[in-house]
Amino acid sequence: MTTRSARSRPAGPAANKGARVPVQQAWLAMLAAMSEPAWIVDAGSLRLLGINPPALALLKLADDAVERLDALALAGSPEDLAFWDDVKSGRVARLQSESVAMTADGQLLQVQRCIAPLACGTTAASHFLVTVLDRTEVLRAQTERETLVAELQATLESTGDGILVTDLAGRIRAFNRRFAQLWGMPEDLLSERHDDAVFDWMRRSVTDSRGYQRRLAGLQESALMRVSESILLLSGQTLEMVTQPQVSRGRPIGRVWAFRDRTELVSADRRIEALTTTDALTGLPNRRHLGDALDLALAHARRDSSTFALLLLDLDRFKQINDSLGLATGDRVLVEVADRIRTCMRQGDLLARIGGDQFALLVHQADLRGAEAAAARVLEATGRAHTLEGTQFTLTCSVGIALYPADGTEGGTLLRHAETAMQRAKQGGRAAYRFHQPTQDADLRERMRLDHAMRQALAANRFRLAYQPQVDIASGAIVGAEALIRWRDPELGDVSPARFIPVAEESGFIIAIGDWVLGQAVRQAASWRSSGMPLPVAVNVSALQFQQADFVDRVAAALRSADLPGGLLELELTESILVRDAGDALQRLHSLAHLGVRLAIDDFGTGYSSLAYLKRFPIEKLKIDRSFIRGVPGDGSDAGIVHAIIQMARALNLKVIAEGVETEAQRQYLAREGCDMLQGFLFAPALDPFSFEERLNGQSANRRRLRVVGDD
Amino acid sequence: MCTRQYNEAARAWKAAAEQALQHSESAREATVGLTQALLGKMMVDGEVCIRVLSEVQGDRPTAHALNVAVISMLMGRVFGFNDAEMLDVGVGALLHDIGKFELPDRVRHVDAQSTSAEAALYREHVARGVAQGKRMGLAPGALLVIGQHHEMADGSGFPLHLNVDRMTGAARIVSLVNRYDNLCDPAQAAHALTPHEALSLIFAQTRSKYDASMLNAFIRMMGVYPPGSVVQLTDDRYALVTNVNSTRPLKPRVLIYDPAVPVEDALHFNLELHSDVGIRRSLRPQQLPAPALQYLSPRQRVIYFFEPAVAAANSDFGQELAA
Repeated sequence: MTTRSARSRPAGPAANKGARVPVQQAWLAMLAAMSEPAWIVDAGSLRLLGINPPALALLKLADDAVERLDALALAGSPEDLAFWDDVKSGRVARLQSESVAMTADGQLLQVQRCIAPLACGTTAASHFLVTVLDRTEVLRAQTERETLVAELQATLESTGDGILVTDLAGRIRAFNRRFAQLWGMPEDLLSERHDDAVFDWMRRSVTDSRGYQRRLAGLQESALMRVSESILLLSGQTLEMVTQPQVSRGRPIGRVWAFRDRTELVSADRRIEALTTTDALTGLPNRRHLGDALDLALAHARRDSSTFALLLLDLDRFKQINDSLGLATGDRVLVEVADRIRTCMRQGDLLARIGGDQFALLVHQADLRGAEAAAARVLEATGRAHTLEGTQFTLTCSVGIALYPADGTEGGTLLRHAETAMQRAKQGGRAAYRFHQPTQDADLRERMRLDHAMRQALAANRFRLAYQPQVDIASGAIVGAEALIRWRDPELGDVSPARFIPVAEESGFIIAIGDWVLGQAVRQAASWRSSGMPLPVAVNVSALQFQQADFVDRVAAALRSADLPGGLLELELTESILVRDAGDALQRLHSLAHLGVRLAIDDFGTGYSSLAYLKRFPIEKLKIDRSFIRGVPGDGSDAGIVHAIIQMARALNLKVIAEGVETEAQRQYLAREGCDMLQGFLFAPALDPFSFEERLNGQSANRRRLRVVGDD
Repeated sequence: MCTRQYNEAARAWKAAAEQALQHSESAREATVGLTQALLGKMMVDGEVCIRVLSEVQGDRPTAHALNVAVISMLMGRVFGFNDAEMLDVGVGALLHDIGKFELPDRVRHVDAQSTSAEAALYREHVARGVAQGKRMGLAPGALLVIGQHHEMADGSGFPLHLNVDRMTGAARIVSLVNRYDNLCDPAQAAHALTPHEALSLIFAQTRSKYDASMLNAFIRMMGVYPPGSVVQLTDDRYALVTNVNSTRPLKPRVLIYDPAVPVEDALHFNLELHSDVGIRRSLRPQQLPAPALQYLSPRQRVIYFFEPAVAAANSDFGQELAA
């Protein structure tokens, strides 16, 4: 018996019984020839007649298995057991099912197992043929494939595109739910998978169904073509379609169609376009659109030799509305204002919102009078009381007007001129309109030049400090000095502080200048002190400088670095500083007083002159503004004011100094009234430090001389 | 009728289990009472059928305890247990996992991810269960069921590695049924086997671990394709096994999916009467095509109950089998 032949039980006594022997031999020969694992079972004893090598190999059985095992031992599952039970009860049937089999080493195999009766002629089946097909690998591959398909399906469903897959003949092979959604297909259309109905639906959904059909036919012809196009649906949707061939093993097997909804993108494009020329809040044209409209108006006006006016409107104190009522309310106010202005416009005029609370009104065919009338209408319309959320308030606006062609022949120029005119309306007290004034523009350029020169001057150390002596009115002795800034520019010559300080205040450069002045003055005071001339130096502080969060620290640092006692520094503040943010100011003044720094009110009498703050703030000195001194003693009202200030200071226990004293009559009057100190040309102008020292030395020399004389 | 009785039993078990730790005396009385009620229904003359219930209440521990108890008691009935033995099987099966109540959730089940410490703690539920059973004053036979329900016929079980000779008959039954139900309804639903898969696995891989006569009786009772199995017939039609025929395990009664027949009039088919049709394979419910799945609506968790065959014959539901 070769290894390829079936293992069979040794021939027993039964084997010699006549005709059955050749039949069984034939069965065994057939078993040996089978490539599938198989064995033959005796129906009566359930013992094995034979088992072939593939079966031994599959179940990892030894050659002697045929003698040791019976059908029940090889039964891999309860079905086998039940089947052999049936056989024992005399039932003859077939069993074919997916089942399991166990190898000798305990491995579980998935098998397709078939048990079939072997009958010879008309006699009942005496044996059964069991065949087993190992499906373990097949099932594993199948599971893997199912997993892969499930993954692909999940991927297909999770993409945002609608996907359709067709074969070469155009039949639908796959699609995802998004595809149905995009095309608005009814569920049953897809579940029935009626290809013609699906394609018909698509054809009827597009606006250009004939063209669509034609392009599809073209694609059908060229299996490798890749196409990308936009499809407009009757529903108003825009779909972007990309189709490319599906290739397997180098051959096209079908086509994948991807559809993407571009509707929102298309409408977003339109909105972006609209947004660039329209203000989103009010729906008015924006600054860009205004520029275009201005160009058009200029072209027409040039052609027709006509005129037009550009009005620039800025709401007054709009920030307060935002701050107190909230941005949402502020927005509603803007919309309301826009509506009101619209009602007083003529047909063809253009209103644009060109900034937060800035509007521009283009009035065609308008001369000076027409522009004036338009401005008056706008002021009237916006000035009427507003009621929002139960709050009633009045809103005004300032209007600047530029006329074509008188104030400019280009859009940019007109806008700029209207803007400066509007600023002038604001400065003039708001709620008004102003026309462009030609000089204003020159003024602006001058200021810019000055600002630039100033910054260079500070960097080049061109500023100097002059010191005007402050003298005791009774003794005539120098008791202090006011530091005054001087600037001689190589190009501009001497520039007066009255000219450049307002520019510096406007640009904020005053902070840098103020810092420099403070440091310089403190160093000078320290230098005099170390020369045995301890003299308080007064420095002017601007509002902007005072409001810096670290102002007190800077003062302290300046004192510390020069090693100057605070008592030798006097800060002159204007009333407006103290009134603006009284709580904060009070805190700062106390911090400064804590450093020993003396505090004086500058230009007293020109501002608020509130008794309340004089009482609350740690002030030591009032300086009467030079405008009052000029009139004394002749001018009755000036004299009355000076008298009142001095009396009040007395009552509050404050010292008083008069500035701008130029005549002996003034000095006598002030002395009579009880003023403590004075400064002015009568005694000395502002002096450079060297001259000032000479003056001081002279004074002490005089004193010495006087004393010597006295002693004499 | 069956559903109502099952729900009552489920509530009774839950109530008894919840008070087991605090009021062990009354918990025992409740459990014995529940067992006797089940026995009263089961120990009637004539045949008793297994029924698969579809709409029932209860959580997994309750379903498991009742499944194991019902099938174990039906097995005891087949083996001709006397009243006292039946009571031990019932009480022991109902309370076999009582020791898990003291364990943290994490170690109430073991799987491949469990650490050896977790597995050791898990195995403790047997000893804890026996201790709890003693506090409850359970009968020795019931205590042995609790103590031996994880022993295996070949001595590979725990905690004492007893072999078949040293296990009580009741414990041998509960050990097998417990294994079967845990395969069908494991803690992690994704690992659940179909009833047929569970049976095949036990048969093929762990035949040696169970008493052969027990296993054969079990297969005979549950059928090769237990009730609730989804199958494909040799003529390719899909079907749900409703009844097992104990004399012909390969020929159960099935409900056949036929799109042409409304589900209310679905075809109940006795395979024994159709020798030309057999079962080709069993499937997981998920393998069914969607319409067939909806038509046959197999349950993920199979709940077994029973009723006298007479009642079953009159039942219009008909998912029964003579046991």
